[in-house]
Amino acid sequence: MTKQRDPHAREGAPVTGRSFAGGVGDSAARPDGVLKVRGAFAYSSDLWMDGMLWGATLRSPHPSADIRGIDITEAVKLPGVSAVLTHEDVPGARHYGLDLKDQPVLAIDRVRYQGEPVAVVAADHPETARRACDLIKVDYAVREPVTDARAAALDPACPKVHEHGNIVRHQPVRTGDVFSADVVVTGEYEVGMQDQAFLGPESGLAVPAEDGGVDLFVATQWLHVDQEQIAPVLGLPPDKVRLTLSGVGGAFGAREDLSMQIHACLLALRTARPVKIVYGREESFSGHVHRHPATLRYEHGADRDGRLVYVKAEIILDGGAYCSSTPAVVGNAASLGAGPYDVANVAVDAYGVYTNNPPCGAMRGFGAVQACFAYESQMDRLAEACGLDPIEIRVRNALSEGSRLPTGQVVDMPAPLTDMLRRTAAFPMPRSAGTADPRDLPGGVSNTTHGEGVVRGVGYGIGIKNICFSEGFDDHSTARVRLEV
Amino acid sequence: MHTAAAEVGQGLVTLQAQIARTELGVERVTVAPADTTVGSAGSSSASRQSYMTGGAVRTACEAVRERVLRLAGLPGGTLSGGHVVSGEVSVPLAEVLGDRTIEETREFRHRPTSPLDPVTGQGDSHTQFAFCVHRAVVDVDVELGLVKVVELAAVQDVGKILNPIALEGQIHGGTAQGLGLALMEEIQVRDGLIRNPSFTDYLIPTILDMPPMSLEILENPDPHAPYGLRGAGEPPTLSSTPAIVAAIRDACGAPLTRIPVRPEHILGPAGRRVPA
Repeated sequence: MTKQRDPHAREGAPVTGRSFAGGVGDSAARPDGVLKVRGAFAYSSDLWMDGMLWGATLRSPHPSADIRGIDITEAVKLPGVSAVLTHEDVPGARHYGLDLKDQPVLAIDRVRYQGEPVAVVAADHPETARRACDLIKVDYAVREPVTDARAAALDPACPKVHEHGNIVRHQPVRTGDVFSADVVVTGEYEVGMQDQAFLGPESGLAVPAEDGGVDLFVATQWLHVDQEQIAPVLGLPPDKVRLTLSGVGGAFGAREDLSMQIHACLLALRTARPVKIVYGREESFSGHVHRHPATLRYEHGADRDGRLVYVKAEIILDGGAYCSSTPAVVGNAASLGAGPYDVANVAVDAYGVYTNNPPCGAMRGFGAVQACFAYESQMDRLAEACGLDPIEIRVRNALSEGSRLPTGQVVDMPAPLTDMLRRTAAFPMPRSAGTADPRDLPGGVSNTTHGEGVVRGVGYGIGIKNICFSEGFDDHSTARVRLEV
Repeated sequence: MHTAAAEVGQGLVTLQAQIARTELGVERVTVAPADTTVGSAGSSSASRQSYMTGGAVRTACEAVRERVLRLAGLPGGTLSGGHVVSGEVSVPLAEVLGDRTIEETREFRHRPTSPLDPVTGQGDSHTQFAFCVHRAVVDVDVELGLVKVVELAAVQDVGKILNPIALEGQIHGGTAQGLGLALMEEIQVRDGLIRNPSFTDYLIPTILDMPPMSLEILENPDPHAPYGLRGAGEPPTLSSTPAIVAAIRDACGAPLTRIPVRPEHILGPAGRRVPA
């Protein structure tokens, strides 16, 4: 090997070589960008294998009911049907879940939400599979659903959705002891149930393997946590349950929980054929968890200069029928419930509860979103009560590097909030209204106004979000790199 | 480059190759399909993948680089532009490698965190904090309760910009989802039943709803994180919603304590507001 002088080097200057474009800091092009824009990208819903069967899922129409019996006789007889499975056909563990294994693979003696899976069918055509589902007779004894999350949290007389009680997690935060002030503002806020609404439906293909295992091609957020939940249900060791990521059409938290993975694997192993499952859009709304709807009661106390003295909050997150990642969502709402502000006295109670409403779990923002709407609304109320503008009230209270959060944790990284607030206020204002194009006006092409009744408003918001996993979770990632000519 | 990390549209598949180019000084990087034959990459959530899988990729590349430099007999050198470089000396990487393959696998962890005390909620529970500020400008038809978001501006501190265009996409997208929660998106549940399970009635923002954005990105590095980066995907989802609702309050004076905001909330009990 010859060592040579770099011909591009200046005399005496260190030799650095020419860097290639597309490194860290460059706007490197996505490898899948052109494919996606052209409609040529293979998403998990495009998976195909010759000889594959199609799976479909029978779901509960009731948010709460006992199951007295399931009769699959007529479904099995339908030509083209290869398998009809219920909880009795689950070879291993009958429950799965992220934080708690409380969710049945297929409903056993109860259903707890509208859309809960009760049976699955494999057939040679997706429509045949769906019709077979319609032929399955389930004898339900309908119950009154629990739908009031606050009652589930605070009323001991509220019926139990699960034997172990309705409170999934209650996380208090207590610091300081001064809970009176010259200026006090209270508010009760409500956040509706948002959906991740990813465009690519739940979908995947399970292929039975010669070693008795299964290869699953699926759109998901975490291959290994899927594998950890699937393997015990199938009664297989993890190395016989092999997952490959297929094209993912968005996630936003909705693919953190399992959807069709176990069902497809069960059907594939039973029929010894590849089985593909794709949810329709309506089914998708029942097929994944949603953002926790919340009720938040806040009380902020400040001195007459608008400096926060205390924050009290009761946050109730409706987790719906199963646990999912509700405990972690509660942890975020509690620990970040006062917002990115210096406040010495805090009393927060955050609850995540079971109800018979649709199950909720991870969605982008994960508990911090709900709290942010409440505490930012409160800061604006406080601003008004103190005669300050929305930027000034925030600048007076914003935390900075070295601040101590209500949990006692010190912010040991830059937190230039005052700078960020001032820069936001300094953006030039957009051109004022006075346009003739209805698309620029409220109501848009509905043509409901030509400017009459239109008033302009300006508002500000600031949020604090935790990055990475929290509360002692041993999180890690792995990478294998190979260099060769 | 082989990880189990889920590319969900955020651009992690692009970033993995960018890191390899920078750390190994190569041009062509192939990212293998993600599967379970390699160790866990953790979840594509919590805005953690650039930090965690980016950190794992960087650490594995560093291990590969160290072996290359030892092979070249240039332990203090760097890899750049397809060369091994040290002081005045520059050797083509292909020459150093010959027909060798150098492969390394590494796990990457962030610093440990603690649980929250069940009574006091005290604990160093979080790995990193990220912040975003939004300003919203809206036009409100106060007679009909309709809203047009005219402009959204945001300032976000990302520690280090890894891919400018991908970052902007994340901020635009998070802001759009925040707009959706402020104005349009709600699964309406009554007695446990979903009343609007379709995109006909569960409304997600389109290009007609989402206004142009002005962005200012700050780079104040987190000393504990790879490249000093701060996770970027979620913060814009938080501040956009209250900024929009605050702007509507500014226009119409209604208290607006519930999101998504509906026309009847803007109009108030009298059914009609008179513009100021």
